[in-house]
Amino acid sequence: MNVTTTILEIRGLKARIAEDGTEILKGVDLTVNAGEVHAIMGPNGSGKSTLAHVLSGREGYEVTDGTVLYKGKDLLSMPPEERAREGVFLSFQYPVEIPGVANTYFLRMALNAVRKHRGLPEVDAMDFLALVEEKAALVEMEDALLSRNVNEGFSGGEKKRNEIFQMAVLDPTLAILDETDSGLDIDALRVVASGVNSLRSADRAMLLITHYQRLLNYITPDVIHVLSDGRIVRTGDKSLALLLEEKGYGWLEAEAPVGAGKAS
Amino acid sequence: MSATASPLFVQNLRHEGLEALGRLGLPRPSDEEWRYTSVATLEKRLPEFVPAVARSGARPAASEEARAAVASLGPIGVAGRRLHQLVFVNGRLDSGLSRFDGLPSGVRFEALSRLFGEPPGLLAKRLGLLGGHRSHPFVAMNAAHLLDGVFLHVPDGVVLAEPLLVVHVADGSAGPVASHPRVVLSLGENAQATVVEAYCGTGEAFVNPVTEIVLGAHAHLDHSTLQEESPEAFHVGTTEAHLGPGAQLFSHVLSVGGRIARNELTVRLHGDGAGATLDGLFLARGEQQVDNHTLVDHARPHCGSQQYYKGILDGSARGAFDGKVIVRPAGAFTDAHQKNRNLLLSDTARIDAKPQLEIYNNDVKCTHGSATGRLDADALFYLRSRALSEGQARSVLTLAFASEIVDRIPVEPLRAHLTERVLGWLAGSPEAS
Repeated sequence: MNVTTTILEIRGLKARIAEDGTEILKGVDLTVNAGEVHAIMGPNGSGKSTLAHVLSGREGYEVTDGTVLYKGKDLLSMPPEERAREGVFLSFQYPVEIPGVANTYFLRMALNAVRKHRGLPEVDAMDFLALVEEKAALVEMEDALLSRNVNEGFSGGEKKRNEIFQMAVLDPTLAILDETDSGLDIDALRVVASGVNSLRSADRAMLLITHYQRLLNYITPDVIHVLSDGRIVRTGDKSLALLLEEKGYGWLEAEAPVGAGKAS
Repeated sequence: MSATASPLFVQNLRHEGLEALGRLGLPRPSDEEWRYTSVATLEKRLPEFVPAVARSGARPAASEEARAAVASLGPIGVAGRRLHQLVFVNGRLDSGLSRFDGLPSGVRFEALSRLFGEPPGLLAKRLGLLGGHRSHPFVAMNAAHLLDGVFLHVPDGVVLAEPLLVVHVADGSAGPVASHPRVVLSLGENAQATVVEAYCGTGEAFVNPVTEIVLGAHAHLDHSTLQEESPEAFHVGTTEAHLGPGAQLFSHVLSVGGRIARNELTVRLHGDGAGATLDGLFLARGEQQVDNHTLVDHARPHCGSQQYYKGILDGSARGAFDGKVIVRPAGAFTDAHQKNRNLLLSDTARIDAKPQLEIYNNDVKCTHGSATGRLDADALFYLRSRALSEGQARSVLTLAFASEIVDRIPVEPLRAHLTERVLGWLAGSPEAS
């Protein structure tokens, strides 16, 4: 008999923008178990990206209520780097360009920070190179991109590939993919999606945040949630995405949110 | 060597310097060119600093502290033993630490004090040629106290593949000390050389170096100045370069140390088609002040100049970039660009930026700009979300900011040393200040 391991448990999460006090998340409940891929869909302004930012520890938000447990630990009390070292990975909607910092140089620092946290020795140059080659192949990253500065001058597709490549190297327990399909043409989407699919595993959980159903043609989630006005208003299987594709988000907003969206 | 044994042209230079210093006096805080330099502080402290030769009366042996300071230069220091180098302690040659044999014939790379005993040759023509000792108070002071320094001459057509290193150690471990080194770099037609001047040291010191550069037609000089004396040191450095037709100067002014440091660089493009690239990187923290002045004089047609100075300031440090480009009426087809970028790591650090263009010819292409900012919050978060600590993230981004300048230094050990310095500086290690 399989024992279910809960990776992420969000209860009654409320958050607002620190600067102007605008409430964005109005009570989110969500449970994600190991091995599961959940998609969070919703219209613009529903709070999808805010949820990703709050989970990864980005500044600029205030959590006013609720709890987030990651592997049973209080995630919200950890600084961003500690979340990353504990195995949380955020793939950015808009990956940041960092001139003057070579991709692999930075990634080796990141990997060593994670390894140190886990009580492992630093990775040596040869092993790192082998790891980089193996993981770069997953998303068909060219060698030239590896040695270039982080995301500097990368196309939209190259930036997203770089995110998934970094994710593969850092081997997270919880991956949060924020609008990974935005700005991708169909070929790039296919490559990125196949990279993500190859990283699905029994001990990893993934949270796909997406506006469009398109990504879900390539990555099939176990559970789909619809976020609307800061709450999860619908939870279902992949057929929910097709319904949304057909009817749009409007019909959901017309209905009263029932039961504030119990997760799986 | 006593002053009386010096050749006449040296004695004359000293007299002229002394006379000019008396006439000019020190700059006033109201002088526009000196408004960012705390001249009042300098003036108050100057009498405490005495030339080491006056204290000991003889050539100082390199102290443990001086040797440690040289060693701190790491791969570019004596430990490497790979470079031709002249090492001066408190302004006097330390021949034990120096190495200058094995250069191509005709190349002179010598201590001035050794040349003073020879019949006047090219040095007599070059020393003081650029004339700053008549008009610039600190150059005049340097001339008045002239004892030692460096003369490099590379004859026509000779290309020096290996960099030459000049190290000036200001050793204030036995009390405040002054030195006034003079460096004369002369390249003949089509000659090429790479020269690194490193200023390091310990304790309280006043260092007032003057570097004169004369480049013949189509000569190439790559010149780096590394200024990293102790946090108690005062450094007023003046460099003036005169470029002949088609000559190229690549200057790197790298400033890390000192209580007050001023780097003044004047480049005169006096031959058709001459070009200069002036890079600068300055780091200051705590109560340090670092002040960079450039003047590029486009006096002839078809000359180009690119300036790029970057400053990184933390704590209550103050920095300045005061850069001027003059295009004379004869400077048609000038291509001059000036860029200054500064990074403030604290709320109390301050930068004064004053880029200036003075153009007296219509057929020119000139740009200038200055921008000051902080570390990018999005980039910091990105790195932290990938497990780097906040300190690591700040280091990575700050080093990246510096790397644009560091990466253009052709001398590999100097690049490596500077990278270490920036990292050490960020980590707050006292020896890296």
